[in-house]
Amino acid sequence: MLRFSIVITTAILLSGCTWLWTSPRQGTSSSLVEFLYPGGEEPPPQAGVPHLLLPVRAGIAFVPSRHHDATLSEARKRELLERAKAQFIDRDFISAIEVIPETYLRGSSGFAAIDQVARLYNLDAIALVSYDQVAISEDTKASILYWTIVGAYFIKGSQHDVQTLVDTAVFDIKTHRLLFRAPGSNTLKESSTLVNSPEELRKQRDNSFMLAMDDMTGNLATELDVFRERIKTEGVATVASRDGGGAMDVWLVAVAAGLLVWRRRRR
Amino acid sequence: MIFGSIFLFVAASSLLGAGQLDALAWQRASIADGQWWRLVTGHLVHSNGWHAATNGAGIVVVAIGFAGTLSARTWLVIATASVFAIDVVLAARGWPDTYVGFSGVLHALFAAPLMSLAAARNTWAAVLLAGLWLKVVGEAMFGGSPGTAELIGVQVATAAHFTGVAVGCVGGLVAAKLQTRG
Repeated sequence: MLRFSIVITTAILLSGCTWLWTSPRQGTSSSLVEFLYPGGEEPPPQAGVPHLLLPVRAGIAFVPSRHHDATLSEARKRELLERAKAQFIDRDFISAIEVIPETYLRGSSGFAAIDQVARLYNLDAIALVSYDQVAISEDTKASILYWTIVGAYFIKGSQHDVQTLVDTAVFDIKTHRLLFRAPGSNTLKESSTLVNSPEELRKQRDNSFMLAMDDMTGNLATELDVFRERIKTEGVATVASRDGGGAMDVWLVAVAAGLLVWRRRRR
Repeated sequence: MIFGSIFLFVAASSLLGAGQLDALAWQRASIADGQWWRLVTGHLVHSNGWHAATNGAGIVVVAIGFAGTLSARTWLVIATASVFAIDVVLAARGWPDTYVGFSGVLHALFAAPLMSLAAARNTWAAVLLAGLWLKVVGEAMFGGSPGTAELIGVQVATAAHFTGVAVGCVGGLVAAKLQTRG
């Protein structure tokens, strides 16, 4: 009886084992509003219409996260931003997109940090990507088999739900005005064995970030087109070419030529 | 001969490829890097055939209408002075990043003979000069013609026109005074 009780107790303890390998709930996030207004101050009233010189030099960066999270390293963040950049770099009204390391924004906060980076990179606009990811790990019914050593290696009794939200807000550097924004989201549900649980969860979180960024990139392209239309119809911004030329108006040349001919005939 | 040479340069510029145009256009960053030739060549190249054509037509009108009004040396001095005056103004204003076109100088070449004639009490020239000033002041206040911008493919640099007329007037006045003394 005693032996039976020990076995049953051990099985019950092992069946709740996923949390021994991974925390039941993990998350990472960064907040655009907290970054821009760290003291909780009220945003100043937006004055002036943004004036954009085309082609635009833009920057893209992740909003610094509150806590260090090993899931998304600086290198991986850069890779994700490069993927997003690739979708827009060919537009003829964009001359360059600079991927800005998150560390450059950590030194200070708010628009002061953005202005510093903008001066460094000579930017006209900046896209700030904030995110929120929650990963919940739970045991399934199959996890009862974890009490066997073999079960821990081969039975997928751990379920991981990962939800990722990303949001990109594009700001005009000179006026600090929000030009447009776009969200992206992704939900993944995967199972793993007990032993593989931490590695699988890391992969899932990384994959979810990538898919959420891809979703955001598609939405951002749509919002960019809507913004271009709003410039024409609502005047939310004014645009001008960076290039200029000295040109005689056709009417001026015609008038001058006409006067010349008239004067010569009079003589 | 001066006008003929300038006209040939302008006409040839319409045949340049994008790469060649890029190497000769007035470009702020490139000039800062030491590519000084762009301070002059930028005024001789054009963004497209229409741009070259309108400015070329302007050169022909000035040549036919006013070539004899000023001496060859005076024309050369005024053209050179306007080139560098426009360079200074464009550099100081911070826009545009790239500039092409002869019309800034052409405005100087229009204004100089009119000023010289107006100083000699020619009413017709005075009226035309007033009209030219009205045109460049209007451009400075309200921007260049959108139609012209669409035709040449870049925004009209109205500061170049204004500077050209100002330099042309100074040059024409000095030429008239020197002629009176002589």
